[in-house]
Amino acid sequence: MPLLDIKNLTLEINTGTQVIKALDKINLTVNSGEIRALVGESGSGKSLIVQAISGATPPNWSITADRMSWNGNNLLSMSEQKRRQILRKDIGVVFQHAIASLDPSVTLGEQLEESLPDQLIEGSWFWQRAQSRRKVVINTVHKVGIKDHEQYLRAYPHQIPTDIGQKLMLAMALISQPKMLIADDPTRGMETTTKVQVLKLLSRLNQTRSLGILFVSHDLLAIASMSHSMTVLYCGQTVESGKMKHIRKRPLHPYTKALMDSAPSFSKDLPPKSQLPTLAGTIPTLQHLPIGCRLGPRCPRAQRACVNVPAVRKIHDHSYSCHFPLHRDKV
Amino acid sequence: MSRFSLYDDEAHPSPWQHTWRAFKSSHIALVGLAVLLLFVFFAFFAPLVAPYNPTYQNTEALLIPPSWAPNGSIAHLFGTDALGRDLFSRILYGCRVTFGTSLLVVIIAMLVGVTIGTIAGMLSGVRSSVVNHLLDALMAIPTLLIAIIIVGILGSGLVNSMWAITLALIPQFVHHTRSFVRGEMKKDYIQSSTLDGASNLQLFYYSILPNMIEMLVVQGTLALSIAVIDISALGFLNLGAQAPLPELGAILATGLDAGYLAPWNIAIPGVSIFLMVLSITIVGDGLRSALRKRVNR
Amino acid sequence: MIRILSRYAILFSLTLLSLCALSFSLIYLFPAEPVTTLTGITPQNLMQHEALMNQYHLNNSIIVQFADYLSELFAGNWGVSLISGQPLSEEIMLALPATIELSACAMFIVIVVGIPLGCYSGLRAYSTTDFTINSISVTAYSVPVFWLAVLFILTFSLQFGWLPLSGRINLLFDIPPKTGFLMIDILLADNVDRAAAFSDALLHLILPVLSIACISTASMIRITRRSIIDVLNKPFIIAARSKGLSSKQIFFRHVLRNALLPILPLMAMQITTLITNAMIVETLFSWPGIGNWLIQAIYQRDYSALRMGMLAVSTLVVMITIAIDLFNRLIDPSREKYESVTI
Repeated sequence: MPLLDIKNLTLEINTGTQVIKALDKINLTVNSGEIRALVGESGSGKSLIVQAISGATPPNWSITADRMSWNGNNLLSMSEQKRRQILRKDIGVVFQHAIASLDPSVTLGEQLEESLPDQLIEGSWFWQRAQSRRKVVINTVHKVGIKDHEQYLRAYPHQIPTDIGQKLMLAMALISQPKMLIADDPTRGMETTTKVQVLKLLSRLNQTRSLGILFVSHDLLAIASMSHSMTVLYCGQTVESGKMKHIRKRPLHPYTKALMDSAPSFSKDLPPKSQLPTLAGTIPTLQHLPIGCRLGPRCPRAQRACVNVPAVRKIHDHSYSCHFPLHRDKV
Repeated sequence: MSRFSLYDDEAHPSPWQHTWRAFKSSHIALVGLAVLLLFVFFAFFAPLVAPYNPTYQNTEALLIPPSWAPNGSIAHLFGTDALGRDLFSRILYGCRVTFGTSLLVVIIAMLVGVTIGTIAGMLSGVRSSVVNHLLDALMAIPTLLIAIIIVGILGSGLVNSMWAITLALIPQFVHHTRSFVRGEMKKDYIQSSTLDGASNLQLFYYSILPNMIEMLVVQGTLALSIAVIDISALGFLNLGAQAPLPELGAILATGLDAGYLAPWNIAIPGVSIFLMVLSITIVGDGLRSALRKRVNR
Repeated sequence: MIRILSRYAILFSLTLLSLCALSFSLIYLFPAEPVTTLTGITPQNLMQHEALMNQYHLNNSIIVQFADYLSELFAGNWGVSLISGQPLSEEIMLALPATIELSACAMFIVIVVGIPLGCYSGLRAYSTTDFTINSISVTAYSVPVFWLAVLFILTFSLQFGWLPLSGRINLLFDIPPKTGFLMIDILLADNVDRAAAFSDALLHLILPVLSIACISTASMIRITRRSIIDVLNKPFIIAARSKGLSSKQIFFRHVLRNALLPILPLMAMQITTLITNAMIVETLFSWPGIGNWLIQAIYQRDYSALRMGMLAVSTLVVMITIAIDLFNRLIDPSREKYESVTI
């Protein structure tokens, strides 16, 4: 049974003047022990998915889905308290901007201790519990790669450098020993050495603890090495989804192909000083979404039929939604 | 019937139009604006509208109740006071005095405060931080105290109370301008203008001032409500406007003597001050929400 | 820590020094003989004038005069009042605690009523409850304090006769003023029926305190509400919700601290307005506080009293402001959020 199973998730934002369909029939599954990469340009709605799963949605959003379940339990229909419990114990979330996601008036050590659910602490007297709490926190901090824990645990969020902040956010998500980690672009803006450290840590956790990871990013180089499967998102629609090696070898959707081509490591030998291949145009704004397949205006293979939203088709676990996929001819 | 397709042209309103639209969407703010404009109208055109001279004492018409009471007459809309002066005209002229002087006080305080604050904000250094702390500490002195000192030195009168309140409002403007300018100077667009070769004056006029206007408007409405209350308080205590100058606080004070017999002498001036401050506060709140909505949208 | 404390000590002394310099300059600014303003004694003839001038070093240079002035201040020799001839130190020491008592009671009500109501209103932002509370507080904020006091007197004292009109306590009670704070003095006096005196003093307190507290509470509600709305929109609250913390936990541990900390600098302004309103209200209720005393002094042009009274009140206010600033600096970990807080 997959850990996280989302089918046909639609997110509508009511801005007062109009209703915008920010996410249109998204499909996503994460199995236990699987690293799934969620790839898309900025503006494609990746962070919206994270917010929808964690339930921290503003009141003018409306979420509908055929299926949105965690471990078989429907997330949309369960009570607030149960959902909160799941979030606390089983899912860990790492946000984009670490410093902004931390409470500026509380020390980091306290915030880490707050994320620890009671079940993982031993001891019955409260000083024993406080001690074991602290021990678990220090352990986790060491595990993410921060050696000097004393200084950082006593500091306030505005006093620490950004990459330490990111690692601490990771520690905060991992401290409750979750079954799944949602990482919303955790390595954004990091130097390569730190990035490699974080990614190595994540893949180690995935192997040893079979931690499922939903890795949201637009950094293809980072995720190509470690993810098992990938879902490509364009402008609020899933365009392709499947195992990483299949997609790499044979992308079926024009957008996926353009993405792969644009990252230097994916393409074959290019002649020197040649132009890097890209798709013309930019991602449309939320107010001007094209009807039907949203890649329509930019796609080099677009035809009249693209005015309708393409249905999802599957070939052996590799699903795509395109009227004219790459393995078929254009006409 | 042919189907024509009209493409909606994207209208991109300017920032001021944005703000006005957001302001308009709150009905209460519009009502407040209407009342405020009424007071502005009175401030300018009181001599044309008032039926009587505010200082004219009609000894035959003492303490006449307002026109909606059984003994009142329409000749005196709000009744008369103990000296036979028509209350309606006195209130109109009083609005003129109170509102007009408050406006003047706020404008002068804004000009002086913004100048000092900008200079303090643009020049940095240890010196300025000491001066800043000193100014902040001195900002805490109560308005009434400053007014009492100035009245002691210069004597009582409307002009002297105006000086007092101007002095009391200046530190507020200095503080906010200084922190705003300090914040802006660190931003990149100022640095790029400096690299282009802009002098401090040019920086201020072209880059900082347009961004500062919103903050100034918000602070200005706040200061205006404080000024109205303070000027009427000083008039009430007889430290500001002296009789027979009609000023809303002074009218209230003279009305106190015959207060038990003629409560309208107390109620009506008080309600005018209350409405004045209420409209200023509502308009200020509406402006602040409109500006916030514009930034957050 | 020591550095912060010493910095504030220096700031305090500098401010006090400038206040003393200001009150010293008043000797020359007030339209009376410098001798008169300084001592409170009007010299009758030239000889007395000369004697006084020599005694207070008014013939020497400004620096010597100022140094002398400072030493006299610290010695407690503040001069006498022009009108009543009483030593100023006595009069001020009697009047100041009365005002402090009034302001403290009002401040207590403001904090106890204003902050919870503001939090309640901010948590339910833009709902009907919030709209009602906000409307009431905007209305209460706009009422001029002297008019409110007059209305209270007219209705509660004259019309209904429930509450007393003036003074701090019924004249039949004779409480010897030891500290100046009536509540403490009642507890210290021995030949009085304490419970009756207490309840009588409380009744006298109600109307003045209510007049002042209404306006300041309205202001506090607005400030708190705005601060809470601002904090609730910050990203770390969304992050905390994603962590799975309950609403109550989020509120008490994260929202409250971050919302109340920026309010503290504004509290200083609130206290200033509160004291100004207290001074105005004292005249209406014949409350024997420093506001009433100063206003009587200005009516009678009692220059020496004005000079000392101004110094006393401004010192009190500056002390309170700097104390709040110091407190804020000590407990707030991040100073960056100091600059802009709106209402």
